[in-house]
Amino acid sequence: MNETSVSTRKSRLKNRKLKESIFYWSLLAWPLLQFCIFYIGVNFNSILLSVKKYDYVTGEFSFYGLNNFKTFFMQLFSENKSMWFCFKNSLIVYLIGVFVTTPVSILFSYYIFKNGKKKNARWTPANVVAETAKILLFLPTIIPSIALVMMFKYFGENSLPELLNKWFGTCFSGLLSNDRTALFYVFGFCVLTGFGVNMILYTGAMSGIDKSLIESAEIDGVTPFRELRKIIFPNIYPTFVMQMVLSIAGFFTSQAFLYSFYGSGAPDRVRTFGYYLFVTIIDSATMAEYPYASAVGLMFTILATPVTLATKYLLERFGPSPDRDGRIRKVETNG
Amino acid sequence: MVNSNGKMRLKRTNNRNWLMILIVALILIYVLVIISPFYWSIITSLKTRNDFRRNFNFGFPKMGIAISNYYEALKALRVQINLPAGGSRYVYFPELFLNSVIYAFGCMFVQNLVACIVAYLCSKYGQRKFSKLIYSIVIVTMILPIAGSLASEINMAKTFGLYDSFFGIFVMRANFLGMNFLIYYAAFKVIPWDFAEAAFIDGASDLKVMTRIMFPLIRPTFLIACLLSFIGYWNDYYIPMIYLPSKPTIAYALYCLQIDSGSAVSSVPAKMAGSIIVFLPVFIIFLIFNKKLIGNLTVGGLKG
Repeated sequence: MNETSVSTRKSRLKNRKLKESIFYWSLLAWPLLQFCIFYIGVNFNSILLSVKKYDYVTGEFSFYGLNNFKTFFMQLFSENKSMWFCFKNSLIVYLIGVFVTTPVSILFSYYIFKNGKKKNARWTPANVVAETAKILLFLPTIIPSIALVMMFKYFGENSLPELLNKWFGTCFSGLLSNDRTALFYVFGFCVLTGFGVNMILYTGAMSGIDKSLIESAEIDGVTPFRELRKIIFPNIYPTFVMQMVLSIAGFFTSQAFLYSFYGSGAPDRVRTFGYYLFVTIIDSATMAEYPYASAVGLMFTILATPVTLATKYLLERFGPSPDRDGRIRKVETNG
Repeated sequence: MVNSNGKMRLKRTNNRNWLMILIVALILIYVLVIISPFYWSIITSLKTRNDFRRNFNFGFPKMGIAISNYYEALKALRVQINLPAGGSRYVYFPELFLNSVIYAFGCMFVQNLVACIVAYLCSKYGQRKFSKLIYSIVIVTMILPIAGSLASEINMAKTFGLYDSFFGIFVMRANFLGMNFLIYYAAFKVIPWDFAEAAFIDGASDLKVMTRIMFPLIRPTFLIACLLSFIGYWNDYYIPMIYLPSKPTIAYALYCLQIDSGSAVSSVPAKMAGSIIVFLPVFIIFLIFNKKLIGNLTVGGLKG
């Protein structure tokens, strides 16, 4: 009897495991198939394309060796400075993201986190500033980028130069049609639109910090700067690392809204690698440019991968660990 | 003693608040910079062409309010597409709107559903080694900076017959990679498995537990993620431009209007009216849901 009961239980357990496996694998079947085709397959195809060339007559691809890579390197080191501009501008966009957008986003998020209106509390001026900032910082993220670009484009071409001329006595023409100011204007636009997502990520991370820790620090009279440095930052550090790591890919892929501003005709001086790659593909009426674009993309990936992994390693290795800082926090805020 | 202490504390607090003052100053600069073009665009969209030529700054319309700009912009929001049989035709606002709805809603739905299901399986069936592998795949694909797969993706879409069809784009978007997976994973992780175990004892199947117990518990997260995805797809014009050439959306039509300098609507007031027409629906959605949208979406780090 006892043996029967054990074997029944075993069989039930087996049955349950089988049902669970069927459920698990049947739900995973599509996502895995999709991943195999549209991630692994696409990237594998990208490698294959990079060593091929397109035949205009037959419309077929044929083997071309490493010539696409050679063309890219020749362009990179040619006297035509277009690639140099791409590199310079991509670097500027990246550095602006790291040294302007991210720190300012953390500051804004900190202010919103500290002064956001609590339920059933009375409105204070700080609440009003924080809640207004929250909406206005997020606004560029939800507005169609093309509508926003359109507003800024015509504002920068028509009204703003007039105002700047009036205020500073200079002689600005349209800010986008002038090579000198276009770069500054477009990259400034990138900064303005970059706060929204960062704010969501950082305020989300800040809301997970132990409230008692912050309250005890406040009672001890900790300064906002010290609180930000010693309590907030170590706790949002994983989010910060994630953002820093993901932003490296942006060095090669960020278009900086250039396609929205200029279509395919952005001046060489403002182009980035991301824009260059995108326009190479978009402007190709046939698939003729696909092999070259794939080769360029592959080169970028090969260059960016070790940098990304090294950045992740270094940031995690030398950044503040929440545990270690938890200890430091207590000592310092009490002092 | 009390007074003295009080004074000291006040002085110290004032000295220490420089950071908050700096942040408020930065916020004010930001608000000024972001509001000015908005205000200018709204004012400009109400000016006649002649009025704009003479008074293109922040001044109010002096020659009457030109609502006709909006009518003109609605007419101008059109995209010329090539027909398979040869020749071409224009796609106008109602069809553009419908295309936008189908594209944004469809992509939002398939992408979030797949990400949600896979995140559920990874977080709740985490004892399976494959779940850990999937989680690692998501993290690795986020970290790996793949730069130039667009050409290959278009090439594959054409090869598989997925190019230029809504069904094709839905198939291509129905993946679990990206930030949404991490959002759902974090949401499922905090839900205790006890509910499920109790249901299993009562004879519920895995599917029932997932659809009747677990999914309703993360409904707020799901709705917010869906809303953000919907807005993202609604605003996106790159993908429709690349993959759906014969099914243009409103955002793409606005792009065409933006670069169009030769037509009758090349006037700035009409273009501004066009941008406001496209911006308004999303802005209204945002105003309704802003408290929920800018809320508690939490994403962890990149630990694999």
